[in-house]
Amino acid sequence: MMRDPAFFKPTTLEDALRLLREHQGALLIAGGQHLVPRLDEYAEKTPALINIEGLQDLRGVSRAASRLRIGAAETHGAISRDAVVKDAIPALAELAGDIGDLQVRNRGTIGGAVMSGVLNSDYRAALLALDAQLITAGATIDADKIDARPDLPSGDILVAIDFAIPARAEFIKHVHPAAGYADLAIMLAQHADGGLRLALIGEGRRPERLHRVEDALAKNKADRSAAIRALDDAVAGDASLELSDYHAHLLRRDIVALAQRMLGLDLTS
Amino acid sequence: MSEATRRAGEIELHVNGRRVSARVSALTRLVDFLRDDQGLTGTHVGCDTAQCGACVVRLNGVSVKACTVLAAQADGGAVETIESVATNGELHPLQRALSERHGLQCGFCTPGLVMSILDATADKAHLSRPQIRAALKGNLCRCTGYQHIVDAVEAYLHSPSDRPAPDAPEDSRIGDAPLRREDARFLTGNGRYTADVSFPGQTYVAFARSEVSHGRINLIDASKAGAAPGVIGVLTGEDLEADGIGALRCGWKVANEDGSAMADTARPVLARGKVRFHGEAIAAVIAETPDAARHAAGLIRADFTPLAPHLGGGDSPADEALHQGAPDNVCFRWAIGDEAAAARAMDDAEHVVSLDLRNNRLVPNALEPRAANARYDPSEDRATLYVTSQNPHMARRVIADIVGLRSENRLRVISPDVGGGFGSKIFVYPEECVCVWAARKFGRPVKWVASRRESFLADAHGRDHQTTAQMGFDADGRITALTVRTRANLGAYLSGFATFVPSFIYGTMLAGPYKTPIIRCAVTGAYTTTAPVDAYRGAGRPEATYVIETLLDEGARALSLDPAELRRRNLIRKEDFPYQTPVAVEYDDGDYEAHLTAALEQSEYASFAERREASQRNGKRRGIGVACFVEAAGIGPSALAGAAGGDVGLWESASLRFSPTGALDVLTGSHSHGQGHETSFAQIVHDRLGVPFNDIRIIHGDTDKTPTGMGTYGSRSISVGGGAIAKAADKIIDKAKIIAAYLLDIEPEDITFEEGRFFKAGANAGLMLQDIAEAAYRAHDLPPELEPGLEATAFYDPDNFTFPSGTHVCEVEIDPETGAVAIERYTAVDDFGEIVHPMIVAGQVHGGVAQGVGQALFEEARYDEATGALMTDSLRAYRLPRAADIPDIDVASSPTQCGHNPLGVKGCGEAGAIAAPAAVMNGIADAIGRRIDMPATPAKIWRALKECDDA
Repeated sequence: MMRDPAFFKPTTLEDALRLLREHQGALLIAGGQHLVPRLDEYAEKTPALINIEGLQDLRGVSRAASRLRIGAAETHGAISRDAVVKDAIPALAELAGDIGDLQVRNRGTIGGAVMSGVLNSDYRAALLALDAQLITAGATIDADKIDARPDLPSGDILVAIDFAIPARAEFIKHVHPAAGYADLAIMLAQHADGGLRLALIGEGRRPERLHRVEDALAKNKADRSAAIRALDDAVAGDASLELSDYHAHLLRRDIVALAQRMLGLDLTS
Repeated sequence: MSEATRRAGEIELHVNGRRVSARVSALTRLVDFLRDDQGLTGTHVGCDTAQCGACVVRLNGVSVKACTVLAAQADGGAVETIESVATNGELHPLQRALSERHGLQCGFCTPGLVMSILDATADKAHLSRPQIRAALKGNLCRCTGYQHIVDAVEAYLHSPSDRPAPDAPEDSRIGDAPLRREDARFLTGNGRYTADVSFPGQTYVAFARSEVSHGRINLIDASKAGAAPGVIGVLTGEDLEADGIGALRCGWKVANEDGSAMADTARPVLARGKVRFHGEAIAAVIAETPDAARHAAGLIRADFTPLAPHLGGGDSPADEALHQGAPDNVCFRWAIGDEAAAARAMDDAEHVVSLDLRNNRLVPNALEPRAANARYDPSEDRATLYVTSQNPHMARRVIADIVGLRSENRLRVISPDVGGGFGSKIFVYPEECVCVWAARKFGRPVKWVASRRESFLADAHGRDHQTTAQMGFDADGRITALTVRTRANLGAYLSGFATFVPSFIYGTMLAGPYKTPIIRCAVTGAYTTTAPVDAYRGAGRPEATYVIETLLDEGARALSLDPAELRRRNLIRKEDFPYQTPVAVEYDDGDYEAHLTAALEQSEYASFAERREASQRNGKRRGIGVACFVEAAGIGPSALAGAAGGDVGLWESASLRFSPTGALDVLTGSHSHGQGHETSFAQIVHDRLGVPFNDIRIIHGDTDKTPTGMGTYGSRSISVGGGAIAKAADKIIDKAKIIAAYLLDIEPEDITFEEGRFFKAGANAGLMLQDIAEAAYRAHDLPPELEPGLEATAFYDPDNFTFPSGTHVCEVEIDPETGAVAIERYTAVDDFGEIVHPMIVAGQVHGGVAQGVGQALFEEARYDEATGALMTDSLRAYRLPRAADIPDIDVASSPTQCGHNPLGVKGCGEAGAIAAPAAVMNGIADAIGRRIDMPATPAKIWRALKECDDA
C-alpha cells in the first residue's frame, strides 16, 4: 500500500554492512526506543529496516588498560548491572541505570541512544567527559568531534563505544519534568593524567565541554577566591552558554558540589 | 543474501506459550500485532510517545512497552501478555493483592501495571514504598493516585504467595468493602473498552486537523486523499449541508447580568468557513485500515487566510472576532450579588486583601483516549454507537438529532468499559457524530480511536480562569465581604456544559464553608482560539475554593493570625444549618468545625513549628497549608438546572427487575468509568432488599437496556443514581409486601420487612423477597387486581444539591537551592455523609488529590502567543503526576448525614481535586513567604525565593 519497507535481521556484522550498502537509505534499528515511537517521521521514506540488536559483534563489555569498551547493542539495563562497568566507571553504570524507566532500560541500547541524535541523551555527557571514541565497522571517531547526530561514513555501523576510564567521575542530572530526558545535566571526570573534562547537556542545547570551567577548576586550586571568580565568569558570565537564570544557578551549584566531592575544592561563595 | 539473513514479513514467536506464525509489515508495532492480529486486547494504548505504560508486556522475560517494539523485532522471541498472568481462572497473587487493596479503578492502565510490577519484583526482594513508587516510573495511572497500587505491591511482596484467596464475603452491605466485581476482568485483560470493539467490515476514520489556530478557509482539497489507496470516502465541512448534518450546541443558556441572552454559537462537526483553534477537525477520511486513513488524512490540503489568534489574555482582540454573533469575543457577562453593597462593605472593611490569581488550564488526560465505533443497519434504519461516554443517553439524544436520524431511538449508544473520564467524556464531540454520519453514508462500520496528541488538541480542557479577588475582614478577622472578577476562557466553541461551569457552579460556591455576608462575583465568559473548555473534575468548585482559600491565607498573614484559627472564626457552625448563603445556594447540613479540628489533629498541625525548625536546620523550607471546602455535588435538582438555563433535568433513573427465579437485575442511568458502581450499587440494593449480594447484577451504559439516564459527573452517581435505586427498591418492597400479606394471609400493615424477609412480628412464618418474586412471576395465586411480575422503575430528582465538605492539610518541604517541592504529608478529612464502600471512597480521594497535586505542581496547557498553536500537545511536554510525585495521603471521614438524600450520601468523586490545589499552594506560600501561580515549578519557586532574597 503506502509504505512497506523491507525488514532485515542479519546475523553477522558483515551481512548488516552489506544490506546497508544494498539498500540506500535503510534505517538501522537496535532497541527501537527512539525510532519506533517516531516511525511516521523516520520510516515514511526508508526502503528497509535492518535490525542489528542481535549482532554478537555489537555486544559485550571489555576493559583493556585504561579504556572501557561497551558494545553498541548493550542495553542501558545491562550496562547498569555489568560488573566490569561498575568497577571501571561506576558513574557510567549509575547513569545507565537512571535512564528513562525500567522498560526503556530493558530495550534501549547505548548505540541507539547515541545514534538517535537526541542531544540530551545522558550518554552524550559521558561521551565528552570520558573522552570517548565511537568504534564503527570501518573507523574510529573521537566523541569530541561528533555533531548533533554522529555522522558515520556512509554504510558504516557503530559497533562499540570506547571510554577512557577516569580516576573519578560523577554525573548529576535534572530531569525534564515531562519528557524524562535531561533538562540539564553535567558529568565531571578527572582523568588519570589529572586532566578534567566537564560536559554539559540539556534540553534544546548541543552537548558541550565547559572548557572555561575546567580551566577554572584546574588552575585555581590554590586560590579559592580566584577559583570562585573564574567559575562565576565561566557560568553566569558566559552568555554564550545561553542558560536561563535558573539553569545557570543549577549548573553553578552542581559544579560546586562536584568540585567539593571530587576535587576537595571549596567554592561555596 | 546469506542463509543466516532472513527477510522478515513472516515472523514466528511464542505468544503466551503458544507458537504463532504470522505475516506482518515491517512497521507493525508489537502492540498492534497483539491486539489486532492476536485478539489480545488486554494490552492497551494510552499514548503515542511511550510514556503511559498501558501497553507493557513481557518480551523474553523482561517488561517492554509494546508500542516501542516492532512485531518483527519479537521474531523468534517469547511474548507474555496480561492474558497469561492468571492461570486456570486463578488470579496471580499480585492480581489478587491489587483487587484486595483496590489498586485499580477504571482498569485501563492495570494490565500494563501488572506486567511492569511483575518485572520490577521478579526477585521478590523487599522494596520500600519509595522504591515501589520509583519502580512504577514507566506507568501512568490517572485514577488511583497510586497509593492503593503501592499498598498492593507491598502486600504482594510481603505476604506468602501461597496465601489462600480470602473468601469473598457472601453479602456486603452499605459500609462494607467487598472486592470489586469489576476487578477480575480488568486484572486479566478482559475489560472491553471501545477500542477493543470491532465489527465485520470495519473501516476507520482519521481526521485532518487544522495546524492554524484561526483562519478563513479558502479551500480544502481532498482530491489526493480521496484517491489514496484504501480510502472509502472523505467528508469535509462542505458535505454537512447536503447531508443535513446539524451542529453541536451548549446545553446551558446563561443569561447576562442585564438579563440579555448570552452570545450563543454552534459548533459544526467539521470546520465550516473558518477554523477557530489549533486541532479543529477540517476533514474526515474513511478508509479500510487505520494506517490508510491516517496516511490519506495527511494528504488533505487546506488553504487558509490566516487570522490573528486570540488567546484571551489582556485586551488584544483578534483582528476578526471568532464568531459573528460575538463581536467582542464575549459569550456572556454573568454576575451574582449586589455590586454596590459589596463595594461599600469592602470600603468599610478593617483589612482588605487582594489577589490576582491564575487558575491554570488543564488537559484532563483520562488514560483511555476517546474512541467511537458506529455501524448502521439500513434494514432497521438504525445505528449503534460504541463510545467512550460518561453520559450515553445524552449522547444518543444529541447525536441522533445532529446526524438527522428519524427519531432518537434510531440510535443505540453503548458506553462499555470506559478508562477514566474526569469530565472530559461527558460531552458529545464532533468525532463520534462523524462516525455515525459516515457509517450511514458509506454503509460500513466506522471506528475512531484518538491518539494522545488528538486528546491534547481536541478533548475539552479544564479551568483556565484569570481572577482578581478581594476579601474584607473586620478587626477580629471575620470576613465582611468578597468580590471576585473572573475572566473564564471558554475556548473556540461552547462545549456541552461550558457556560454553566464558570458561572453557576463557580459563583454560587464562593461562600465556601464560611459566613461571608456579602459576595459579589462577575464572570466574563470569553471565546478564544483554543480548544473548548468545559467541566474537569471539580468543575468550578476547585476554582472557587482556590479563590477563597488563598485569600484567607493572605488574610491570616495581614491580620497576623494563624490561618487555621482564622478559618475557624469564620466557619458556618453546626447550629447554623440549614444555612442560606448570599449566593443563592442553601447548605442543608454539615459540621465544618469537626473536620477542621480532626484534620488539624491528624496532621499534627500544633507541632508543625518543630518540624519547620528541623527542616531549617537541614537548609530546607517547610510550609503547611490548610484548605477547607464545601462543594455542591449530587448534581442536581432539575428545577435549579432549569433556573440556571439548562436544557435538561438532572434527575437519575433506575430499574430493578427480578427474574422469575429471583435473580435481580439493576439497570441504572449512571455510568461507571472506574468508580466501581457494579459493586457499590449492589451493596445498596443488598442493604435495602436483602437479596443475596451475588444474585444482584448492575447493568449500565446501554441505551437499549437502561431507562433514560443522565450519566455520571458532578459527584452524582451515588447520591442521585443511588437515590434512584433506593426509591426503586422501595417500590419493589411496596408491591412485594402486598403479595406477602396475601400469601401469609395477614394485613399488609402488619408486615415487617427485614433482611429480605417479610413476616409478622412474633410469628415464625415468613417469606423471602426472592420467593415473592417467584410467586409474582408464577402468578398462579396473586391478590386480585395485582399485575404479575416484580420490577420497578424510579426517577429520583433531588430536593437540593448535596454538600460534601472537608479540610485538607498539606505539608511541603522545599529545597531552596533547587526549588524542588516534596509533599511530606497530606491529610484529607472529608464529610461525604454515609459511606457505601470505604475503600472506593478512599481511592476517589487519592485520585482527586493526585489530580489536584498535578494542577498545583505540574500541569499546564500552553498555547503559543504568536501562532496560537498548542505547545503542550504530548506527554513529553505536559507532565502528569507519576507514582513518585504523589505522597501517601492520610484519609479520614468526619461524616454528617445528608438528610434529604434517601441514602444519606453526599458524593466523593471531586473533593480531592477541589481541595488539593489550594492546600498545596498555601503550603508552598507558607514555606517561601510569597504566593506564586500554579503550577509551582521548581524554577518558579526558586525565582520567588531569589526575589525575596534580593529584596
